[in-house]
Amino acid sequence: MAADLGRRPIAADLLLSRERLLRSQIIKQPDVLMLHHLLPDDVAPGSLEPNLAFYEPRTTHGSSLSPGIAAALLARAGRTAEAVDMLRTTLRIDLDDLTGTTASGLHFAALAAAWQALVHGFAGLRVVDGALLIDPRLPESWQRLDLRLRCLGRRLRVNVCADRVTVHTDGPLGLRAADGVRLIDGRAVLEPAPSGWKVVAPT
Amino acid sequence: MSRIVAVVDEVDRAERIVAVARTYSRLLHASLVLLANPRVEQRLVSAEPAEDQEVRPFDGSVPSDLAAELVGLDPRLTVLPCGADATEGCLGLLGAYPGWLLAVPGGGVTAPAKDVRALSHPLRILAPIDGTAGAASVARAAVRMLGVAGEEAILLHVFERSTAPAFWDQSAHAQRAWETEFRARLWKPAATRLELRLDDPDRGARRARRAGGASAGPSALVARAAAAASWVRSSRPATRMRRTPRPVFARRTQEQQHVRAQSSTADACVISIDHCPERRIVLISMWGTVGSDALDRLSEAVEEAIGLHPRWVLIDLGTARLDPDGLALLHLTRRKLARHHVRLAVTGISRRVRGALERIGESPRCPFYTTVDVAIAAIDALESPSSLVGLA
Repeated sequence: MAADLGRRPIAADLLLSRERLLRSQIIKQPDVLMLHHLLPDDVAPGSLEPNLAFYEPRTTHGSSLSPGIAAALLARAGRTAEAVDMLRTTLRIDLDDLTGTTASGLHFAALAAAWQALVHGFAGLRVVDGALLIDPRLPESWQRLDLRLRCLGRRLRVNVCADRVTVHTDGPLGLRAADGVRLIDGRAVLEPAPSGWKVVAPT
Repeated sequence: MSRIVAVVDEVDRAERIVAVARTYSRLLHASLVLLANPRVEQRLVSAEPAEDQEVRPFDGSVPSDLAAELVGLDPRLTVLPCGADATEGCLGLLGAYPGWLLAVPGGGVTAPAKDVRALSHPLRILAPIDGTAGAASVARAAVRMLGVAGEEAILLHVFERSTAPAFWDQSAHAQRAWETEFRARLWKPAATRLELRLDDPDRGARRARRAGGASAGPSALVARAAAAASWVRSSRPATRMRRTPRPVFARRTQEQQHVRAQSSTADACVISIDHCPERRIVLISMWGTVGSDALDRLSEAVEEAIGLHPRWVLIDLGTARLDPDGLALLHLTRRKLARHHVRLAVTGISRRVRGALERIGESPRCPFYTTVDVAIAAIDALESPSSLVGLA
C-alpha cells in the first residue's frame, strides 16, 4: 500500500523510479477516481465508495492536483474527516512549501482543486440537466460553510449548516431537490429529508 | 602560510598517509606537519626530508589528546587513516574536533597513485547535499577549502524518504523548477553541476563517484551518534568510512533542518554562510524564527564571517520570523561587526521584518532568495545609490 512508502503525500516516482512503480499497484493519482469527479452522472450509481476503498490506499498523492480531488471525492463519499485532511494538505501546498518550489510561484491548479473540493465535495453543488443540485457533506468539526460563486449565469450565496442549506440568488434559478426541480428567485431554504434535501422555503 | 597535519600512527600505512597529505599540501599551497607515533617518527625523520615538512612526535592515545594537539596547530586540514582499526578513532576525533578531516582508507596495501591521479586538474569534487543547511555549508566549505569553485564541483543530491518533496508534477518541468530553486536556496557557484540520484543514498553516491570520477566526497557527519550522518541518515558513518575506497572529507555539523521557503512548523533558527573572497562580502542566510535561541548559532556564524575578513556582511532573513529578542541580537551583531570595521546590511521578505530592519542598518531590497551574487549586487547598490543594479 502507498502508506508503506512513507507518510503521504509522497513523490514515490522519485524514490522507486517510474519503472518500478509501473510494475506495482502504487499510483500517483487514479484516473478511475477522476472519472467520478469529472463525470459523476456517467458512472454506475454507488460505484464511488468501492472505487475509493480500492484506489485510495494505493494512491501516493504525489501530484499536487491529487489531494484536492481526493478531498472532493472523500467528502462526497461521507468520509469527511479524511476529506478535511486532504483539503488541509491542498491548502498548505504553497504555504508550507511542500513542493520545494514555492519561490517559482503558486500552484494555481491545486488552489482550483481546493475550490472544487469545497464546492463539489463538501457543499455538494453540481449542475444536473440545467438545474443546481445541492447535496452537502459537512464535517462534524465544521459549524457552517459559506460560499459565493457564479452558477448558471446567477450570482449565488450558499450557506451550509448540518441541518439546513440556504441559497441566495440574484435571479431565477432552477434548484434540483429531492422533490423535483423548483424555480427559485431570491432566498431558498433546504432541509434534510429521508429521500434527500427538500426545499422548505419558499413553500 | 596555512598548514596541513597528517597523523601517522602505523608504519604500514605511513607511506599512503604521507603521500596523500603531501599531495594536498601542494594543492593547497600549505606546509605539512607530520604528527608521528614514536615508532614511525624515527623512520620519517631518517627519510629524505621534504620541503615545508616538519615531523613532530605524538604519543596521544585517545581522540581528545589529538584534538587538543590540533587545536594548537590550527591546521587547514588534518589527514588521518580510517578503515579497519582506525575508523573508530577517526569518528572519535570528529566528535572532539570541529575542523576539517580527510579520512584516508586502507593501509599500506593500496598505493596512493589513484588518489594523486584523481587530484590532477581539472579537479573534481563530489559534494553530497541533502537539502539541509548543515550539509550544504559543509559541502560549500569543502569546495572553498580545495579551491575548486572555478573547476568542477559535482553536487550530489540523493532523494530518500526524508529528502524527496511531497509532490512531483509533470516530470518535463518539475525537475528543472525544483533544481533551480534548490540551487538558489543552497548553492550557486556557476561551475557546479547538480546531479539528482533517485536511489538509496549509499548506492547513489557510489554510482556518482564511478561516473563522475570525483576525487573525494565530503560527508556532513554529525557528532551525536544517534543522529548518524547528515545526508546519509540511513547509514552508519563507521560502516561507510570502513568501506569507502577514496579519501573522505569530513567535518562535524549539527544542522539537519531542511531549508524551506517558509514553514508553519519550522521554529528552530537555521543559519548558513557563504562569501565572495574577491569582493570581501559575506552572506549569512537565516531561516525559521530569529530569537534568543539563535544567539549561539548567529554568534558562531558572525565569528566565522569575521575570520573571512569581509568589508560587508549581509544577513538575509528571507522569510524568517523576527521576534524582539532577534532584533536585539541583530543590534548586537551590528556593534560587534563595527568593532572589526565591518558594515552590516540586513534584508528580509516580509513587510514587518523590513520595517524592523530599517532601525538596524542598511536594508537593501533583495529577491526571494539571496545568493552571494545577489548579495554583491545589493552591496553595490548600497555603496552606489545611483547604480542601476536591478533588485526586485
